[in-house]
Amino acid sequence: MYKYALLFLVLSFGITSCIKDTDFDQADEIELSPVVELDFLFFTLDIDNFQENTGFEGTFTVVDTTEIRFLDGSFTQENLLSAEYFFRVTNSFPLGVDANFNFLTEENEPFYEIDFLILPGTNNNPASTEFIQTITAEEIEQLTQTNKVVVTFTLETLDENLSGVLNLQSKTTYFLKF
Amino acid sequence: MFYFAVFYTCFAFSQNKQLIYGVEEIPQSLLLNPGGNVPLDQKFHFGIPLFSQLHINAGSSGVTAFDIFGESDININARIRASIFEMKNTDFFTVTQQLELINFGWRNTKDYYFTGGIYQELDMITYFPRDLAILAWEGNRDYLNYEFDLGDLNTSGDLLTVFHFGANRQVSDRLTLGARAKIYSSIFNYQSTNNSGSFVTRLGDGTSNIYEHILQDADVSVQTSGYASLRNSDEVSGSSDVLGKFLGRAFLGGNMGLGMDVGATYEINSNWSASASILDFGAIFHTKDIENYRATGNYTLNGIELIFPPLSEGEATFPYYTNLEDEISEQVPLDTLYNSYTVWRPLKMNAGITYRFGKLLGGNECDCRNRGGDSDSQSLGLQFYSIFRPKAPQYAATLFYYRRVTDFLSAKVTYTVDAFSMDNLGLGIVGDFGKFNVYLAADNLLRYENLAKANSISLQLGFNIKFEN
Repeated sequence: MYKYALLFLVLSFGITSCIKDTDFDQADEIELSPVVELDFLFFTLDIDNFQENTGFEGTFTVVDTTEIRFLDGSFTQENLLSAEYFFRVTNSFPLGVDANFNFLTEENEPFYEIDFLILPGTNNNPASTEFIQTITAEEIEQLTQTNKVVVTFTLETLDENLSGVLNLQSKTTYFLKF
Repeated sequence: MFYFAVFYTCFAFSQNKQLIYGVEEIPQSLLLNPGGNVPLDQKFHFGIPLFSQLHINAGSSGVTAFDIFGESDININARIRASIFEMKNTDFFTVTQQLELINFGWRNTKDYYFTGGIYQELDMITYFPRDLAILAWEGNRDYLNYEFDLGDLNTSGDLLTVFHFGANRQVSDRLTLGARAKIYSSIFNYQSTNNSGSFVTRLGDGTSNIYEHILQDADVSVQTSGYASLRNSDEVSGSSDVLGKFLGRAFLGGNMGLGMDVGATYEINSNWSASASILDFGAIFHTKDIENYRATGNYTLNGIELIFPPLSEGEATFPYYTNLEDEISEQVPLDTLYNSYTVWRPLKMNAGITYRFGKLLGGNECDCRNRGGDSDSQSLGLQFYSIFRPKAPQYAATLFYYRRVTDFLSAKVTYTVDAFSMDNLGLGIVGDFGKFNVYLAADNLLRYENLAKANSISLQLGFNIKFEN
């Protein structure tokens, strides 16, 4: 009897440990909130890139389009909380330039737009313009329906021999939460 | 799945069985030292199939479950963040589990004690990928110019069955030798252990864009065996198919390997003895069902450069995004390879020195050389253990006290210092109830009332039948 009591003691030893003062339900509260900085678009333009806009007399425009495929991806749609676009432009054209970034869906429907004016400069003293567009949590659903951006720059002038260079650099800050 | 991940990441496991090593009443101690002493009156033993040894050992060298999930006023995300920054990339999580299917042994007329058996083993180790965890948790915004080390990714895992057969003999009054041959039958293996390179975001030099996202000297690879066929829907359509495949591989149908254990015990004098063993000196040759992945190269991302080409009405512009993807794929190709690879088993070494003394409770003074008499009543000693791991060997040192409490009950108490903790107390109890042998050993007893606070836990449990002369 003594032996079996000891055997019972030995076996019960293995089942009396416990995990306490812990709350594994807190796992539901775990959130990763990385802030990712990523280069966006960059380019340099001179007057040769611009074409007279026949639809709007007195304006020269330049247009290009690129896909940004991850914008409407499921990961982005589910986890992107907000975003911030930062543009830095140096301009030596003696005129202000209108910058327009039109974000389109797969079906080319415009869902989000960034528009700002670039300050005029001179060849000897290019003007620097910085512009930040914050896309809030309320607006982010519009951006994440899109997967391409149409970039349009417009000079209001009749002078096709206008001299100048425009350089744009940009980045996006993505505020994620998952 | 999440709770498995939590469990896995909150405990790390090694294979140290300091409570079993050298305890000759437990037949499985021969698995730790094939040259260990076998009681001279032990004629034959067999383990209760599936119950002769269950070994679970888990540990985390840098964080406990309580650190993360303990009840606290501090938000769990703040605690996780603090843990990420407290841990080093040499901290690790390990899991080892062994389930013995068969174990048997017998003494022949020439006093060889032969042993054999089959056990299943799971062994996984993951080093804490500190830089990658910071990148995932924080992003890169606050880490400009910081080189995230891709080499922090270091993990490996094995699921296998081991078939073994060995012999043990007391070759002289002082020396006992033993050796064991092993056949490894791999069920599943993965490893990603030799990664290198870095990812850094720097401010640009002004010629291109605001940043440069630089992947430099990247060389990241993952090797797998036993995985590719599980994705083949023609072969595997449910859990029963997976189980069937695993069982087939477990019994010599998978990738095979060979290995051996050797060990010795030397009686220095009537009180002192020394022992040592080398386990799992061998390798598994993965030649079937292989699928490896490797990405290498350098790339600097500046974003997308628009060139505003003159276009006619309806003409599409350049496929910038596709070109970017193609360029990345070209400069950092991700290759799927099917070449064979060899994985060395994690080599383990045990060593111990023992001083025997004392007498049984109510018995006579120990005659330690006469193992048929009132022997082995008490002993005190030191043990050393090491296991080779991908980044570096791991070590453990143990101080133990063993006592044969009665003629049917023995106990061993250990104090172990290892990578997990400096205060690991363990207790093992073995009882011989007639022919029925049972043992139970657990360590980190100081954390036993709340295992969540333990950096490691280890449990060994088994039942055997022993026949004596």
